[in-house]
Amino acid sequence: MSKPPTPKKNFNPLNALGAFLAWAGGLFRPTYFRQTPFRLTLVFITVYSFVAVLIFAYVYVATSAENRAVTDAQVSARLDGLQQLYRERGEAEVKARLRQDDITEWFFIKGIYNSNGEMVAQNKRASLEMSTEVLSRIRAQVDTPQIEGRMLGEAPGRSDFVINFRSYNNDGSMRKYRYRGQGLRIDPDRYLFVAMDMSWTDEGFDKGFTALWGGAILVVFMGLFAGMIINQEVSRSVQGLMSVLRSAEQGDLKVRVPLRHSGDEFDALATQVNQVLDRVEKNVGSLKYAGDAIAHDLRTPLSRLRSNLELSLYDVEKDPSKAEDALSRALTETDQLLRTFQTVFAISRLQAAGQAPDPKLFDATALAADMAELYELSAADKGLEFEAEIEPNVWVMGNRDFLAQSLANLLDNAIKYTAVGGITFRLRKTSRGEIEFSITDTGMGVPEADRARIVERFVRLEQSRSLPGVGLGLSMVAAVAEAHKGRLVIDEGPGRFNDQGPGLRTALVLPPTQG
Amino acid sequence: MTHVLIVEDDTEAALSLQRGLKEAGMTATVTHDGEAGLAALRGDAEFDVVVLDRMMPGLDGVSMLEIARSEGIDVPVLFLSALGDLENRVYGLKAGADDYLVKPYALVELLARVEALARRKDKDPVETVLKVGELEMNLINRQVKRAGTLIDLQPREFQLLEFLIRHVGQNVTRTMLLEKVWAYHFDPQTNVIDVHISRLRSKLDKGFDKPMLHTVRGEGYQLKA
Repeated sequence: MSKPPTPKKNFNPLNALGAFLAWAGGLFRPTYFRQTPFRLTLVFITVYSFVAVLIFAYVYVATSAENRAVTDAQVSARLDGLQQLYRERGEAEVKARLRQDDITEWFFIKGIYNSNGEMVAQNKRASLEMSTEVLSRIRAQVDTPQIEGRMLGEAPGRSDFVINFRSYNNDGSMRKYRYRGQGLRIDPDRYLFVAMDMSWTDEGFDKGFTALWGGAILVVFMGLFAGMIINQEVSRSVQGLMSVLRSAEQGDLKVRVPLRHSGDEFDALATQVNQVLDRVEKNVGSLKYAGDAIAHDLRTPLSRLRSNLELSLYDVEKDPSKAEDALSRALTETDQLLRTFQTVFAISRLQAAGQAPDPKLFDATALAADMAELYELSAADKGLEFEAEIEPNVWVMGNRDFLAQSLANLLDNAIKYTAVGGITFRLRKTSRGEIEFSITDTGMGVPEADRARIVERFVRLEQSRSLPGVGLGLSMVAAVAEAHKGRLVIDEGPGRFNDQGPGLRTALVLPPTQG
Repeated sequence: MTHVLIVEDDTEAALSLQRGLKEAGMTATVTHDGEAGLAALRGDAEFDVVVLDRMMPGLDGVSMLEIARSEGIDVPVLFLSALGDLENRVYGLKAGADDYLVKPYALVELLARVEALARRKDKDPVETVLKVGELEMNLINRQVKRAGTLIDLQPREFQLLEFLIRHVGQNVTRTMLLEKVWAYHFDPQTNVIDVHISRLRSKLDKGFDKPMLHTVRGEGYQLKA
């Protein structure tokens, strides 16, 4: 029996709207305002709006001033013309001229009124549009006592005026008018005025304003919307990082931030975080391992020491005079054990730290010369040739004592494992600027298959078991090299020599010194 | 007699140290923390050397040393730092220690160093000719003579002998020689120092009935008049 198919949900527009509102509401969580991308968006919108208003204000001020000046000039010219006509040819002539106004004069209202407020002459636009209200407002601004007081014929006082009024078109729609004009008294009972209709330019500005507001609102909303989207995107990426770091903090070092391979900064950050986690995980692992290793490494020598002491006890019981011998043997073994412990400890510390402690810039040439001087006699003591080729003026950044210890280990090995022939100790800068300390001997060498292995702790090859040592020398050198971002190279020596060989070449190579 | 102040919080370690010093013919006062150590230094007793542990509850070794030095207490100090404390060793020297040893140390090593520090106090630093028995070292023209015969030494052999002369009659360990003569602090693995000593010895004692440079079994070397 199969299950009945689950009924498919019908699309419900109300549900969809609800979901949308919930989502949109989520966008407006107050925490948004604390998040960087969103705050940046707000800042951007504010700055944008401010700059837009500023530009528009500037355009408005500049163009309206220009407009006023042009208007004033046009009005003034007409007023002058009509005044002159009135003086020279009389009122009738002005009347006739105004009646003849053609379409080019459509933007102007012109007229003469008397002190009773009756129009004496007017052009067509004036006859169509000028109500008594408009006229009374013109009179209020033109027919002022100040002008009245002036004698005709003297410099005529002009009066600027601006009149705003509304009229209704035939279809009932409203039109806003603004006239800008000038008027003056041309006779004791005659006032001449000319005004220009500014509504066209005003309309232009109005449209501009409307467009600006619309644009601004659009920008603000689009901006907010884009900001929220970006914000969500960013917080999702940051949330991913945060949750990984939180898990890591709680001890889960296996977590990694999933990469989106978008190549953006978040991916770069995530990669970086993952690398840090890799490193931490490795260090913690190697620390744990080091602890185990130390415990393991010391078990063997400790139990050997213990059984030797037990055996000594038997010996001393039989022959008390052997007590001193037994004790001094135990002391030697304990010292050996302590040295082993110290070396293992130092190796672990170097590996865990991943860097050399207390690094300083120092003279590698002097170090090499000192080491050569120290070990030359040991080689000579064993009948070996010792040759040192040390490049002058080589400096290296690192821990001098650890590097000295490494060279000591390499030189000691070379002398220990070489029966006849000689040793060449070299310090040089390679063509890549690396600093290379190398030691070449004519000893028994190390088979290629064993070269990787002998670097491991406590590994000693069959042929060297009879010689003193515990098998930590090369491990130490490798750890020191790694801590200095360098490497230990183990190579074939110069070849067979007097039935010996093929020899071994070991090199401690350090990266070029900066600066 | 050399009087040593031990400042070490581990009672057992302090007592074995005290006994070791006593065996070597010195006397020792034990204190178990920095405050008590400081009080002892400020007190009436004269100390020739202080053996100071780094890790202690309360006032630690570095801080105690800094306070003592700032108060003008200039007694030589041997600083003991724990294994692996390379950085702390540096701190110890910066704080004004004269020598240091890393724990765990060999008792002979500690005794040799304490002795060296104790003797250093009464050395005349402006000597130009050092004399030990029939041996004479001129620090100006860098000539060494034994019973009037010129001994030809390499620069390092000269330094080695100078150190031994300055510590005549004292045990000098291999580690001390590597640290003080070669200025390195590492484990030389094998007998490198011995080889240098034996070459010096061959130049110094050859042709003379009485050897001056002695090997002290399990401890190091000693120059005797």
